[in-house]
Amino acid sequence: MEDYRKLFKKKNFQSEESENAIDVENLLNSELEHAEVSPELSYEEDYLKYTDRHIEKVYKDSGKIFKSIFNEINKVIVGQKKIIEQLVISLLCNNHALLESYPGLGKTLMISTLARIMDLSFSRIQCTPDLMPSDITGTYVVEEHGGSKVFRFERGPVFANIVLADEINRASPKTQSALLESMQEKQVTVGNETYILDKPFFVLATQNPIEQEGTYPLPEAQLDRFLFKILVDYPSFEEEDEIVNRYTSNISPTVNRVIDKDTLLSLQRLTREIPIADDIKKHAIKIVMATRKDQQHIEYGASPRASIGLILAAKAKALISGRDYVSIEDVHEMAYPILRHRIILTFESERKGITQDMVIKEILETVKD
Amino acid sequence: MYKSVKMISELKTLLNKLTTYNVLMDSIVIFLLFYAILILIDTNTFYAIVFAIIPPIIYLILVFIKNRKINTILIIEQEYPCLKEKLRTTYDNIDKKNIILKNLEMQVSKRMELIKYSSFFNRKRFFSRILLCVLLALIILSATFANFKVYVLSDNFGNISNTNGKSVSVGEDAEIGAIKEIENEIGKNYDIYGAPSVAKIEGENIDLKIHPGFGSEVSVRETETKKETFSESPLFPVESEVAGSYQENIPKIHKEVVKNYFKELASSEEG
Repeated sequence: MEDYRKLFKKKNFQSEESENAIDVENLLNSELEHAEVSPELSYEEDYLKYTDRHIEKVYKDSGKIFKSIFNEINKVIVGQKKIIEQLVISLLCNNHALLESYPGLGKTLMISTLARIMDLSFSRIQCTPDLMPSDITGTYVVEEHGGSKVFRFERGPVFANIVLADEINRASPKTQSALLESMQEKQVTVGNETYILDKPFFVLATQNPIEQEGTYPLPEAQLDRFLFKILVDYPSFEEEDEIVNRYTSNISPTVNRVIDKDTLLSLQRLTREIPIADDIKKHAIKIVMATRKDQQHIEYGASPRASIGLILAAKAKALISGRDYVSIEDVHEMAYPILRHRIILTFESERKGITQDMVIKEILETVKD
Repeated sequence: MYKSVKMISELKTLLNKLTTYNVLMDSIVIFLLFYAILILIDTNTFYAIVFAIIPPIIYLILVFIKNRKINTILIIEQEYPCLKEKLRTTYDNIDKKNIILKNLEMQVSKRMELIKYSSFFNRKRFFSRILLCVLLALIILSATFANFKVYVLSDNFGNISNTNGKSVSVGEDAEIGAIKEIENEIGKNYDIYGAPSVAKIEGENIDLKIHPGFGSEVSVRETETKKETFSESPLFPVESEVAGSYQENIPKIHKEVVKNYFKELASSEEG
């Protein structure tokens, strides 16, 4: 029994920093008490069995977990509920998100808050044109040990669970490529060495739609690697009033850690286990395929990666909503952030002022079951 | 096997039976409707059955094609919105096993227990079909026994075929046919009513046959039905034939008296 305890403790199943955190230690003890572990089973099998029980526990508590996540974020962020939900969905899908908005709408604050409420390491990269790839991935530094000099790899900011790449379009294409490679492969290669990035790994990038001078817009192929392109809109009058009240007083809002890394991993696994009906799945694929057929507005449609992302995001949305199945509404809601950066409009449509969201809306209305 | 899946199978069988029953009822109604229409326009019974059976067969074929696309699960979901999307998700993921699916299956099974099989039976539709069947059967029976006809088709078309034994045609063919008929009719000693074309004047039978080109109207109604033999008139070329003339049998003495009378009368007028 002590072996299991060591094994599980090694997996960091404890969360001491927050009162609101899921009491993993208690969970561990209760699970071990009820465990019917056969002596013939290997550690791996035992661990899998434990993981299944942990997932069961997380599944039963998922409603509470999501409630506590959103409550904590709402302490700092006023409104923007859909944006926060989409960010959490991208985390559940183990994928990356690109946030686009005008300056001062709280993109960076939103992402840093999300990192803080989860027991995850967080790093921020402020992208500038002179940022080098080694500034992100890390580099070899020379160290002296007992009179001899040795090379030691100094890890860059990319070695974190949540990486905030602020104003990604200001970084040079070379640096962008370095970051996007780590996003896709979830590993970093420096010299002859390959370093595996920690799990979970998310890149939440931001960009401004204005001030395009001196920027390097992300190529379509690289945009495709982001699961979502989230558009952050201006707050309403009431929301802005609340923002002003909250940030002009002496007490600045603070957040607590509410979930640990393993709970997040379990939630990610649960997301993939959410069942989906065949006709809803086909409907999602038809939506993505319709972007390739619309010759009137779209020059290039979405890739099959969009189909994967759409179904996965719909599953995550169902989990967040406390449903055990994917609804067609989930697919429709997720279609906007999934497809808007994956479709390239024709010149004629852009000239007429047609946006990606307008085209997606039309597609959703056209595609039938 | 999941409980809900078993229940879905049962419901599928039930819905198939109900659909078959409804389709059969509709087919009967269609048959009776067409049969009633055909009977009311005085069609021959055999032809009425043959023509009335075609629409239900077409209907059955169309329903069969349409029903192949019908999804039973969607019908259940429409009837019970609380099962919307849940039922099909459970059914499509029978082969998978995980805690979420297990929980979903439990929810679906609980809700499916509330399903009343009778809710799929459309009473309104059933009674309307029965009523229609009874009504149409009554119409057919009344029309048959009371010999009630809305439009007597046979009087207008049947008699034509009975008289001529030929179908009615139109256009150029009709004209040619009519000429041929006239040609065939020439040489027959009866009129269009079947009466002999003979007039009896002063004990003599006179052939009243109108040859082509004569063009004058003769009433042939006043002739006797007695059949007489005549030498037939040649067809073409038309030859004139002297008909019987009127001669009175007056004794010679009377002839002289009359002759003298007229002579005297003439001389007195001259004088």
